[in-house]
Amino acid sequence: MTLSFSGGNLILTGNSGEKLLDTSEGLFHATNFATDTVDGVVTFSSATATTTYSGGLQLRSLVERTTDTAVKNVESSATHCLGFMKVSWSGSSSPNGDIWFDASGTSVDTFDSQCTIDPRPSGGFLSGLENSRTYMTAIGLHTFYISGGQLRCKERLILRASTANSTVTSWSTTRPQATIQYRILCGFFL
Amino acid sequence: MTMALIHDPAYGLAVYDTTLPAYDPGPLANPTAYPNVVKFHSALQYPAIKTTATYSASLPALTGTVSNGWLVGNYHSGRITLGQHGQADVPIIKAMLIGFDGADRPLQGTFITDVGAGSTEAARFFRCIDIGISGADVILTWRAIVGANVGASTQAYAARSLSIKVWVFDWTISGSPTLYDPNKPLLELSSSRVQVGRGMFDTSRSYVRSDTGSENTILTQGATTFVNGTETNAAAPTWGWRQSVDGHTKQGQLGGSDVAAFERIELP
Repeated sequence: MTLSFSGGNLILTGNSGEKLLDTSEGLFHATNFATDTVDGVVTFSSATATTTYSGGLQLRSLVERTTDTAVKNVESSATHCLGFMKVSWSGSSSPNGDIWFDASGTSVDTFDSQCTIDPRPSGGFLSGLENSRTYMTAIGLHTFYISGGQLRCKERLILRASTANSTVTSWSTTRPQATIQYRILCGFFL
Repeated sequence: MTMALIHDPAYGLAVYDTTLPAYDPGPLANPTAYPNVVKFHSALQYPAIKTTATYSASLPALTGTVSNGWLVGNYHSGRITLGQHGQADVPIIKAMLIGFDGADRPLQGTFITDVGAGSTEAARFFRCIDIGISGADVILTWRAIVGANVGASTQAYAARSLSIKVWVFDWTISGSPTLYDPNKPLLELSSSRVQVGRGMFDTSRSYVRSDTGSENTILTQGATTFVNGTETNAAAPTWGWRQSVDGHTKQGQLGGSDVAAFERIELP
């Protein structure tokens, strides 16, 4: 084994020439494992979009919101986070509510497409089927990130209900309250 | 720059710049207060990779059907059990698609695999996957809305074969592993191994490293999927979605130019 310094960095090399330690490389170390008690939890309120057909017009109540929430104070030097998140919706079964997902990047919580033909065609409603969907009309995103010594969670939510017509005069679409359990490891590359 | 390699039984072993500020033993005793000075400290906690595995999975083909002159778009979803992670508790994992769309693609959050085939309208839909843990299992979930094109006969996503590498960390949902062992050496050097801090750091473990010259994946910072525009009361939506991570970009209506921030890292 050899020990050397290069450019102010310590390098340890094994007898086979393999690099064991080089302090010029970044080594990710943990500053915080962000949990409050047993579980950390952040919630985002429910939202409903509606469309009503009246007097030949589509009267839309749209949802577009961004909610950026401070979750926990972390070491000021922390930059990256990885860990777990689990999403459940109140009052309804979340299809993957039993799974701890990787909390890196953005989680697409919900997405949908509803009819946006304006107005909705009146002929040929088949029982149990909707008319064609031509645009993405809903999306919900959740992102954990670190900023200014805080672990934060940001939600971006857009909801739009299907267009209506004289036959079906009202539609609504709801994203229930979303509860996110999380356990996030924060740190930086030393 | 003056670098010091200091070993103190009370604090461990540290490598740090002693000239910024003037020589100060503080980094040895309190390394987290000197993030720009400390290069290494054996008392810090370094998450390590415990196991790796590569799994195969197949996303099913999906087809939208025409009904009464209109394409019926539907929401589809499913899950695939890839294997068992082998840990006593839910572990932190990282994952990567091997050879997807011509390159290895890190799975950071929800990963959009496909947009709808065909016309611009169909490109507004997507199929996506997520990876996670349920009990003892590593799970891949998939979701999709089949693209719709007014007047078309069918729209479809083809089946896709996936190869997924999963790294399992020694940190679990319960916390960090118990590494400190008073019976282990404070510092021991051998021909192929360095052990420091009575079990706290050991070069036989695989740590998360950057700036190695052999980076093979990434660790993202913040968002990987973005929304642009705003939802107005127009007949057609005036907002769009976009996912862009290290050259892998999928987007729908409007798109945009946002890209994910990340650090390139090397994992075993």
